[in-house]
Amino acid sequence: MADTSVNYKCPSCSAPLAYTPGSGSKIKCEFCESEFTVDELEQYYAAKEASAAAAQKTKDTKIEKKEAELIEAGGQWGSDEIAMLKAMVCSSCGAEIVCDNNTLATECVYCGNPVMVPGRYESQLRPDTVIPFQTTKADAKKAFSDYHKGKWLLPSNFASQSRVEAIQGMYVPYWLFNQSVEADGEFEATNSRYYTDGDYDVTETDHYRVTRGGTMDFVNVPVDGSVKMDDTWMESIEPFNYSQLVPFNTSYMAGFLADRYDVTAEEALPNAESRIKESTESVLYNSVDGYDTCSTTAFHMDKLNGDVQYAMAPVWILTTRYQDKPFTFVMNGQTGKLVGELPVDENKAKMYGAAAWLITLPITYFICKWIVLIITEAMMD
Amino acid sequence: MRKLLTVFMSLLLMLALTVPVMAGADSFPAGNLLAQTTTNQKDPKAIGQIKLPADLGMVSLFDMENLLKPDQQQALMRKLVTIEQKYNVRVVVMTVPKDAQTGSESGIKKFADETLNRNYRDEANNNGSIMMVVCPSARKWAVTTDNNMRERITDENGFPAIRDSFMSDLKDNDYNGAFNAYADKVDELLAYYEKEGEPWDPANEFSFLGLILGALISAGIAYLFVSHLRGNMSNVRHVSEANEYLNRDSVNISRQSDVFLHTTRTVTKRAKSDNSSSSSGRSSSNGGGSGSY
Repeated sequence: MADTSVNYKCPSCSAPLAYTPGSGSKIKCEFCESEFTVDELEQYYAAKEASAAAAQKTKDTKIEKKEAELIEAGGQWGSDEIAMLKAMVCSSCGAEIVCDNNTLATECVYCGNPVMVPGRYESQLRPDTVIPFQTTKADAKKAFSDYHKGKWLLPSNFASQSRVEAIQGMYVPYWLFNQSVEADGEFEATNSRYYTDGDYDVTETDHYRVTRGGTMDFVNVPVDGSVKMDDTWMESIEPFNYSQLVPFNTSYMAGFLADRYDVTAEEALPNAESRIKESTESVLYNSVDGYDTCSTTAFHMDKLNGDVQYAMAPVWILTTRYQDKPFTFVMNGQTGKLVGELPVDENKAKMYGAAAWLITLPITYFICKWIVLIITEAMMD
Repeated sequence: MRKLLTVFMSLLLMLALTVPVMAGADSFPAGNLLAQTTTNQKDPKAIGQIKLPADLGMVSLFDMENLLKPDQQQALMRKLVTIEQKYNVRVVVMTVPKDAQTGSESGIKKFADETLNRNYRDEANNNGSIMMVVCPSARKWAVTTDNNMRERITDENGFPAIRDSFMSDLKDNDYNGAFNAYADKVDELLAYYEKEGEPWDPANEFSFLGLILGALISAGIAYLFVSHLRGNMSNVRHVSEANEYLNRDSVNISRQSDVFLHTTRTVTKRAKSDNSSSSSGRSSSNGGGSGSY
């Protein structure tokens, strides 16, 4: 039976191959230390992927028949759920691997070998570019332990009792929007003068209508293309360093999970436009100078040239469990920026609140007493 | 016979004990409870156009304008003398007619300073002197202190407290109330000095309102502090702009105009003090101040 998946194995010793973060465009076998470029490997495995894709297609037809039987039999899987599933056989150990329709790369749960899902990089589904991983699992662990240091409200036993359940490297699909814009803004600005005239305080304020207009370019504004990944979390790990953006090659996926996009570029565009609009307005606003106050009264932006590219960005996902509650942290696989939400010890929060109240009370009491004295004297006068 | 001798000896002993007490009372000026009506005016001294008795220093109340009834005079004199004996000080009240000097704030202060210095100042032997002078026809007042008294009743804090104690009564022409309020406040400030060893300062007083306000502000600060700590527990933030991805070199502001529209003018009348006023009029030798009511 033909393989329905592709394991990246060393052409020299057949050991599993995985991309080593930060190794540029080379992949080195950890066992025999042979080195290959990503292009060589892609070429080497292209035929295998095509063969696996054909075998998978045959298998999918069989699965569809099986699905119909399951639905008729009133099985536990719904038709939508079954349609989302993808089954293939690990070419290394022969075990059946089940993943969803968006999975591009995964690992065999039985033998741990990295597995590429064939036929997912065809035509428009193939990413244009990829930012290879620059940080390792060890970096992610260290970033996590550094992150919860110095957090005053962290439960005292979090460090000892929290258990890192999984650290998984994953390529997340991103849409990178390039957009030139033309914008015009209208602002109301004022300048004020203060002086005394006899028994009167006089304030004179000059009002101006200020307009600013021009063009500017935004390069590679990222919007994540995965429904699974929360937009806010993905925004939090920005920015990525685009100088390390390279043309897509499946070899970079080896050893990591990867999903294809399930949010289209059209669906992601409003998010990018909203961000571009805010920054454009900010640029025009900041170009107004020489005034005491300035407020925006009107703003209009037109899009000029623009394009979009499909990219894969590296992310480490750490899952921990503390007191039976899961906590997830996400780290930018390129820059090492880690984001997440730590648990809060409510007793510590109350204690610090009370301490802050007690420490500041003598100071605020004397300040308030002083103010009360001044006001009282002013009223008596 | 022996009984008669015992009674005679007892009388002699009582006499011997009584004489020094009377003599002491005569020798201590604070013991003289003389008002203007009973003052010896055989040897008058003049300050400005006002003639004052030579033995003015013997009295603590000199009501030239007869603002107080006899019973009010008696009661006030008792109060002043009690304070004087209690703290070894001179506490004087005087009312004067209007003349070129007492008709102005600075003039009445100068009059008060000179009167105090000539008749009551005795810093080597007492703890200080304080005098309140009121000219009802000019509606002017002054309070003056010598340097010993300034250590106990400071110009910065004690004098304003005394002034505030009697001003409302003066404005209402309640002179008896004003003089008694003055005496009570002097008593209170001297008692504070005796007890604490330092002059009264409102900054040292407990302020309930200050405590309530301070507690509320501290609660706000504590809330903000804990909110900040809570905020540190998560660094997941929505990003609403794309500043990181702006090509700064591409920014081309090609259209700009600044058009003057109009000028607005806001005029606010500066706060003015009411019809009563006071000034410090302090010198190196005298403290206190004066004012109108």
